[in-house]
Amino acid sequence: MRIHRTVPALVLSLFVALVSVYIATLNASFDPLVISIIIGMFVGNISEVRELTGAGVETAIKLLLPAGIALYGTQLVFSELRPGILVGILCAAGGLFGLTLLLSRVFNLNQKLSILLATGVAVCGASAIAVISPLIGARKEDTSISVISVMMLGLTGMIFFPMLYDILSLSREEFNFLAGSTLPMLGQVRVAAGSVCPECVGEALKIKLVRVSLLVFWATIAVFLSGKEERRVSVPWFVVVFIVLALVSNFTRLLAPLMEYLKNGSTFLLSAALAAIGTSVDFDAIVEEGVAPLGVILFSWSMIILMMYLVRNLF
Amino acid sequence: MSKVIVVDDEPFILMMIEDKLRKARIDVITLRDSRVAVETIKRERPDLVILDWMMPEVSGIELCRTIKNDPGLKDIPVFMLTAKGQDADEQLGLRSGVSRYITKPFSPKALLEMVQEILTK
Amino acid sequence: MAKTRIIYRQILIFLVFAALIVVPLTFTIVKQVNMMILQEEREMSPQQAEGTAHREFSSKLLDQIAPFVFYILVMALMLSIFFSRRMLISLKGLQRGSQAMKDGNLDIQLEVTSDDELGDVTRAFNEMVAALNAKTAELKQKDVYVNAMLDPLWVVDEENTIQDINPAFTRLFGYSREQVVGSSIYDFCDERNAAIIRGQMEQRRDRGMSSIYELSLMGRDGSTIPVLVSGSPILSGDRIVGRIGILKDFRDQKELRNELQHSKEYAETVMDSIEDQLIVIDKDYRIVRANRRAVLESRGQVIGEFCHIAAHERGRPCWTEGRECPAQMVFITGQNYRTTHEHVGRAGERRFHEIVASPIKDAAGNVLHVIELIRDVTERMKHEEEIFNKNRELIALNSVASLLNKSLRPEEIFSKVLDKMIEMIRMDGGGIFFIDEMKREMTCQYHRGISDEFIKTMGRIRLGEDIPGRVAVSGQVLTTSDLSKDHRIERSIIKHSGIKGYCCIPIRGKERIIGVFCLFSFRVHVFSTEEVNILNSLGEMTGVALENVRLYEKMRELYEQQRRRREEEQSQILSISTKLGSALELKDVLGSVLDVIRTIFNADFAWLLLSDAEGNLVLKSAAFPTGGGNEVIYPRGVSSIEGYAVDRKAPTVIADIRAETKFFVSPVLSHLAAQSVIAVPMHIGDKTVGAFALYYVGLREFREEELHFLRIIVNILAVSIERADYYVRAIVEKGLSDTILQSVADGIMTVDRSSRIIAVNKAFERMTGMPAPEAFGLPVCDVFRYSVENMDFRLALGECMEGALEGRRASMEADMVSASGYVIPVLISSSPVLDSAGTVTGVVNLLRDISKEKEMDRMKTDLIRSVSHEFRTPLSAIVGMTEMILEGDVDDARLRKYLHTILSEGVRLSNMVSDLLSIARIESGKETLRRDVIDVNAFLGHLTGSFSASIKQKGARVGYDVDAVRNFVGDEEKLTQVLMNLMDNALTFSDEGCIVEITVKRRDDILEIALADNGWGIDEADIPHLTERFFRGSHKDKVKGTGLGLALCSDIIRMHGGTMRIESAVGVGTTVLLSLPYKESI
Repeated sequence: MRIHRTVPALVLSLFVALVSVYIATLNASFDPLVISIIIGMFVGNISEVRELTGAGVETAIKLLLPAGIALYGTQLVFSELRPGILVGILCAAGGLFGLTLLLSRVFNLNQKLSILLATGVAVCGASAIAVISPLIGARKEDTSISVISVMMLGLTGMIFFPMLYDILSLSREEFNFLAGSTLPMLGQVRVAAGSVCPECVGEALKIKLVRVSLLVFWATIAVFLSGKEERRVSVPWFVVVFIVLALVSNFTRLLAPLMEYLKNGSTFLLSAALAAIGTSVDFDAIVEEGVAPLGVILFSWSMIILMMYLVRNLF
Repeated sequence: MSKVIVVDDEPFILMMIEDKLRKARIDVITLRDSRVAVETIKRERPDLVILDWMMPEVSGIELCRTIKNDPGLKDIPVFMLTAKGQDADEQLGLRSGVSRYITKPFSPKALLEMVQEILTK
Repeated sequence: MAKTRIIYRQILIFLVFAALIVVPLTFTIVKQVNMMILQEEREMSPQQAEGTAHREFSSKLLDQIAPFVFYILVMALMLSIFFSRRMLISLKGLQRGSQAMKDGNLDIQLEVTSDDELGDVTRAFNEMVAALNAKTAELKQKDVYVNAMLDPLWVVDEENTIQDINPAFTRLFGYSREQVVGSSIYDFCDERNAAIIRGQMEQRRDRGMSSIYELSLMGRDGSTIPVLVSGSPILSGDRIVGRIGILKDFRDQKELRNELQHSKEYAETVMDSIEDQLIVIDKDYRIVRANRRAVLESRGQVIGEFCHIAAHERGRPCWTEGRECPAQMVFITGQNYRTTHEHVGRAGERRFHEIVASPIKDAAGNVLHVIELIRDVTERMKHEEEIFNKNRELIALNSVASLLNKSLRPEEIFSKVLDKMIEMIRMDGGGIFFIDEMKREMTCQYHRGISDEFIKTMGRIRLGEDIPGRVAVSGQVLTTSDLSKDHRIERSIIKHSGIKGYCCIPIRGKERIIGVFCLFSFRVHVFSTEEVNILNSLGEMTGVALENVRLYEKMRELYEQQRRRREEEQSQILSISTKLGSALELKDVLGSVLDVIRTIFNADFAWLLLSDAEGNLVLKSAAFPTGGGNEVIYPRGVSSIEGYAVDRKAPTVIADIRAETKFFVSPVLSHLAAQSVIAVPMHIGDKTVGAFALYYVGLREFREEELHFLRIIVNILAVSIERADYYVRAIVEKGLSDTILQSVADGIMTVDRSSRIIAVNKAFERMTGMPAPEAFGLPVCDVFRYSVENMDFRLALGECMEGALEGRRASMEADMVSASGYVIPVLISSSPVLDSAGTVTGVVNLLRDISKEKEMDRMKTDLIRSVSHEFRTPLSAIVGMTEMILEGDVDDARLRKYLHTILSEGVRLSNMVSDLLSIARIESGKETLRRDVIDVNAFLGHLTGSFSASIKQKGARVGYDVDAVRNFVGDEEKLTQVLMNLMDNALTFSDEGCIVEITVKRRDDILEIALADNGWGIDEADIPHLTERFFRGSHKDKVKGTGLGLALCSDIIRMHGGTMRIESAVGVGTTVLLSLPYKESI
């Protein structure tokens, strides 16, 4: 691995990540990961840039992604795990996960893409996809399209949920649960909840965090689903670090002073990793994937929301 | 080479036919004694037999009937070369299975043409 | 990366547009809202510190709007992805296709996913690929052809730079394609060949024509390779852009040409060694080549001369002499032509040249030259001509002989014989003169080659005058080669008429000369002895034939007379019986009946006298009414002629009644002064009825038939008179034996109007095997139903009867099958039976057996058939062999043999003719016997000696026993002929190892010669026919023969006044017994 060939890609990724993180600060709905992958895509598809970065992108991904994942462990919050909510969230997330997988099969999407989509919808959007993709060895195109698709889904939910709150005249708790359990991204939950009432934000975020904390669980299932029986699942180092950091940050106050940096670092590194992925992905590859992934998740998502509504009305 | 058997008791007729056909590269066997004709035909398997009608011992018409009644020989064409020029004789000859009825005096050239015609068939 | 740019740009543009709309809009909204709030605030509380509230508000608003902006942008991205997708798939397909095409794979068809412009483009692309594919395939195939070509090929451009070559070029010259392409064609040849190319190019290029020329090119290994270049221009529009040249390897041809040069000399040597003249003629009919022989023959330069110089010597082409020129024929037909020309040699001698002309053709089949092989065949032709003439004579003789036998019409005989004679000895014309014995004059009756006017001017020739007259008198053939110079003939009407060759032959009848044949020619004609002999014998044959014809005619006349008379008689009988039968009152008709009888017998008076109970003769009726009747003419006891006849019970004829004193003639007749009288008694059974008498004024003699006839008529009269009413029935019931009907050998059936039989005779019974009583009442045609083959006969009979029922006589010939199964040719004649009123009451049918006449016809046909048949075998040798010789099938070694056979078969033919002739002579009585004293032993020894060869071959034993007879008198030559014939028969119709015994015995004044064999024997049925001419027995299919031998023998023996008897039994043997009147010495 030649350093000098990696440098341009690495620099580009970090730069894009920096920009997207800055943009993300402008509004809560802006997710740095998504923005960086989109920017990465646009930048990366300029042929001059592609020539410049060359094969270095791969190296950059291999450097940045594990690091980002490892640090992401700090973002997991186990403190909110309460049995009552947990069951509801598990039901909703499980429903989303299963239904997405099922529909993907119906729409004839490839297995890895469908796992990425399912995880993305069920857990926490772009970051979850970013975490899972190396574990299941997903293609970059699949990663990109699933990130964008999930983003799109999240934005749609973010825009329409407040309307839904008014139309269905949901209670605050119900709305919190809805936003927290069905919106894939943290920022979107915040915006959606915030547009209803400022107090809701915290509650919804709690639920959302519970979902995020279940990432380990979903990741395990995803790996099992994708993995072939014969392949030994060797647990990579970054997963170990991820779990250790998650445990440490939740059960000890050891990392409390560093927590904010670590969280930001993880976001930054993941952004950079996704930017790198975006750079190395061809537009036409994404285009070829089409809107079917979006359709699949939209459909499964709507179904789950409908079922939730039905469940609520029944009880 | 095609093979022709000629049976006639007149030696000069045999001579003429033999000379004419030999010249056209046709193998000729001549017989003066009609009694040995059938054996010779059986032995030699000729492509054509030319018979005189009026012969001592066995007449040509008898020979022709013998040939035509023998399942092994009946496909061999037979020419009748005879001085019997009446229509009734010719009818009798043709009924007995004669392919060509040639009356004497005959043209050796015309005979050769007829022989060649039937041999090329 | 160009491949992604279009999508990238599209998405970018989409997003920029989205941003351009959304961002200004957002700002406008925010600013507007901000302004509205500011204004509000100002109005509400203008004093308040401005800006804080609305400033917060605008950022908050911006915060609220931002997600939407983001949402819209991402949405735009998704949408652009969505819309790009289909386009992208098409584009990608196109891209893949073009890539594949670039890689050389043309086997692609793209799926049309949309029907927009991209779909059209895809379709167009597919079509383009398909077209390209086809084009490529075509080009590839062309390449394959070009590469497969065995001959080298080059393609050059306008500057003569080689653009392409095929593998064959490499093979031949050794250069690889890379070495050659791009270099000039002049690099491959030396200066000389380059000049050739330039010349060809300049000459042809402008005209855009193809050219063929020979070149030598240098191969890679430095060798020079001769090639035949055929170049064609490559045209692009009207402009020539290059040339294609096919270079044919010419090395082999070169060698061939060299070889040809050598072989030409060889061929000339061969040509010169040919014994016949050989010349080659070009299209101008000039000789371009001749072999030594041809040069020698024409004694001088022939090359360049006209073709007829070589063959003709006289310098006149064939066509001027009315013959086709062989060379011309070959030029026209292109086929071999063979002919024989007669040329006159330098010394004026006739020479025959056989010319065989063959074409020399070029590759296109045009005849360039003609080779003529001229062979001198004068010797052969002379020979052939001789054979041909002989042959023609024989054929003519044969045809004359058969003509004479065939024809019984003198005109036909004479005109045909005349024609044949003219043809045979090649004369220009002739005539036949017949002698009028009474006037002692001759007239020309048939002529050929002379005008009728000339014959008229000749008029009648008196016997002894002019040539025909002299010949007719002398009976000697007269011939002269040149009439005008012949001193023997001084005075003749034709002496100076231009006739040169002339001959006059007498036609000999039985005893006298009937006429002469005259033949003439306008050329000098030397008559050979053979010709004279032939003419002589023809004259004799014609005479005999003519006599035969006359005899035959006479015979026929007699026969006809007889037949007519019989028919007359019958019709008279019928009319009499009809009259009698139909008359109710006998008296009414008796007179007229008597009158009829009187007319039949030309009598002057007739009467019918009946004897009454007292024995008086009473007049019943007379031919004309002399008295009332019933008056007693001759009382009992008066001796009258009628009475005498009644007593004798037989017809009595008195030649002159006036000279007879014992008979009293009634005074009633005294005025008549009758001389001859015939009286016929009338009896029925033993009962005397009376007498019938005819009186003649003059003398009258009666023939036996007349008497017989008269008796029959009188019988009828007697019966009629006795039982007038039942006359017809009476005839039948009396057993018919003594009636007219019974005496007729022909079958007679009398039928009534409904065609039912009322009377038949014995002959009818014999023919049909049906007894008369059974036949009565049957419909006549049913009688013959016993054989199905009588169908035609019955039809004929029915037809005849129909005619008769309508009142006219009808007759037809038909074959009838008799009761015993024989087929009898029958003449049916039916006559109506009329009553006095003239109405038809019945029909009398006569069935006459005409087998004798038929038999005569058949024998004549047989005779003609046998003659023609027997002549065929020798003729086939003559005709066939001559043809083969003329065809050139026979080589010289065999030619002799052939000519021998022709000669011997010709002799055989003429022997046969003379056999026939001698029989004809003997029968016509012309031949006379010689009287020789014959030594029996020597005679028989000579006989057996001449058969020694066939005796030996058969293994026969021949012995003879001469019983004390030494000599006897007879015609030795003829008797030898007889015994040789018999001997030959004995040996021929027997198996091997047979025994023949000849015995000569004398019995008083009879000499008996018996020849016995133990051969096959003869059928009993054949024996009576053995001596008939051309009769051939049951062995005729096995053995050849003329059927003339025994006929001749029998004739000869009869001439000697002897008899020939043949006894034979099948399987036992045959004995021929000759009995001759014996005389020891002359």
